[in-house]
Amino acid sequence: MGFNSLPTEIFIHILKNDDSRLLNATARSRALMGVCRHWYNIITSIPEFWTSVHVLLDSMPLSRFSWTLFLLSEQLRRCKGALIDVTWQVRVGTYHPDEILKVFGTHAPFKQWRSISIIRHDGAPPSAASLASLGIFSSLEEICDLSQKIDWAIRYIETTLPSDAPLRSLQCNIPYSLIAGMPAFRVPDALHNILRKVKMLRLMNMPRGGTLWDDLPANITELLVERLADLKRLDLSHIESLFVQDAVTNPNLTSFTFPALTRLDIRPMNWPTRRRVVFPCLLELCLRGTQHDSIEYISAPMLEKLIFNSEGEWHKPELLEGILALPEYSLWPKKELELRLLVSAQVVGRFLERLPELEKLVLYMQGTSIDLVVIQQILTPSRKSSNGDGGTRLRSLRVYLERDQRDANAWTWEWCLSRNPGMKEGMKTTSMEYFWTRSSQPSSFKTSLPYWFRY
Amino acid sequence: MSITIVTSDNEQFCVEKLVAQRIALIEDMVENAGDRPIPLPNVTASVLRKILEYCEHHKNDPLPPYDDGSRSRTTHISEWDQKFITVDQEMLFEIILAANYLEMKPLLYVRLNVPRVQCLTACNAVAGDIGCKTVANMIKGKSPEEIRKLFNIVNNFTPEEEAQIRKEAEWAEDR
Repeated sequence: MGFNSLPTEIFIHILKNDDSRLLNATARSRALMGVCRHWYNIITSIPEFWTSVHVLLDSMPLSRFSWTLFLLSEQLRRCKGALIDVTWQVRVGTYHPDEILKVFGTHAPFKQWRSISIIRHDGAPPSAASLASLGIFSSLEEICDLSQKIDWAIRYIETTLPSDAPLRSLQCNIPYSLIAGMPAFRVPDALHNILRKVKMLRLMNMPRGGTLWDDLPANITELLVERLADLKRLDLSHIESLFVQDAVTNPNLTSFTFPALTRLDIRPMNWPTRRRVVFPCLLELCLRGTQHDSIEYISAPMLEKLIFNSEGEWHKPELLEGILALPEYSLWPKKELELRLLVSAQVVGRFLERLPELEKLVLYMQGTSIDLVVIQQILTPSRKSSNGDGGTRLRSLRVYLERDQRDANAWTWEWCLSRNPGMKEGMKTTSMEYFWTRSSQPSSFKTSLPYWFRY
Repeated sequence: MSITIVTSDNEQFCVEKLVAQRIALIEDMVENAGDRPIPLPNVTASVLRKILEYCEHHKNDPLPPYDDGSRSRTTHISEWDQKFITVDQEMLFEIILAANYLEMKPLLYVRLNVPRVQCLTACNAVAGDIGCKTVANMIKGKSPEEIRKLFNIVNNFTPEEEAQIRKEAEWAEDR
């Protein structure tokens, strides 16, 4: 009994679980098909292994360009008509983009494109005839335009996209490093038109799209915005999920109303408005690098989950100290607390004292600055929960550790268990979780960024 | 209440019904079998013993919420499950095959879109899933050569074929 005796279905399931695919799925497929003929035959016959198509072309000799087109053609042929996700990163050299589109025309016309991420296109645009020969984007679900300079692509999408297209996500990002030096972004008319045209659209991301908000269609329920410096008000009654990137204090922002908001993820240098804001429906709040005095302005009486993510400010313990020093406040979560920053056992204990009903706690431990003994102190507190059994209401604990800490701390976990019989009992009756993982910090906020951006 | 299961090598197991019901295939067979033993012609005693060990440990686990496949896949394996699946390669593949036969593999019914069984299978399926995840973790980050060595797979490409595949893979790594 060996690996190659497994049924094909199981074989495929195993390969799909290979985390090495997360970084570059197609490259991993290409590597694994070199194991043996059996692997080659299976991997090349499954379209799902090939649907992530990265068109990355720069100035290169003609021979290499031909080879690249051949491999692109091979990959698209293996897709066998399945929907594909295309990342477009082209610097036109001695060749014309029509030659690239010709390959797509043969194996994967536009109706087969599920998503398109445009990173760059330098040089001549494709000809109108070449674009038209590929048809329309009838299956397009996501557009991510990182370049903002590729009018031909967005204009073509706008004019050919049917109003009943399944497009759900429209993102107009710019690389973060460029934000500071750029002038205010003006939303191109073509994007405006797409926004009005497609009724399935749910998620939108526009950098500094200050001119856009007044006529934002009601079908948009998830919104990603960057900076709010030019805004005087932002009142959107239909938004349920909001991500604010790089918010700065804006003294002109007099109104910031989101009555239907259930998820808020904010990465402010400061809270954009120095006015008290109530989010009556907010269930989940993620604060990134937030100054503690900023959260005094936020009120969320229904809040269930609170995430603190200090991002680059790992070594600022006063961040949490400041928050803990706040008086009783409606911002505290009812069920779940996630601390994505360095914490001491004492700080965690103080949080748990403030939140006796907490059911789930997530901790991130980086480097060797914290010992797992903190787990013992967390799980065997002297505090009493309201259920009167003298135990903890904590039903779930996730601890994310750096990989190299895993072995070093495994014994500590066992030691904690052995020292605390009550905790052992708890392990049997509750779903106490304990995950050894790498220290990657999964984003809690759902975005539709392409895989390479996410990972 | 207990039921009797007979393996391919003719060994009989008397199993608590609550435990046996963690296996979707048996759960379906129990109703028709009455008091008769349930035959499992594709599972040996040594493998069934492992499967039942898993079912016994998880017999009181709550049913997980409905999973339509859209939730992100977890790659975590709990500590107990990790120990459970720490077996030699031969046994690992036998467990995976048995879990497949016993309908303990995840997502099968999700694809077939049978909602009633969906929840049961998502719960029951974990042994197979753990097996697949374990094997996936074994190949994670490894080169073709390392994988061949790990699973004793013969490289049956011609030198020309291998060179072509390697050239394609190297190109992809540059992307």
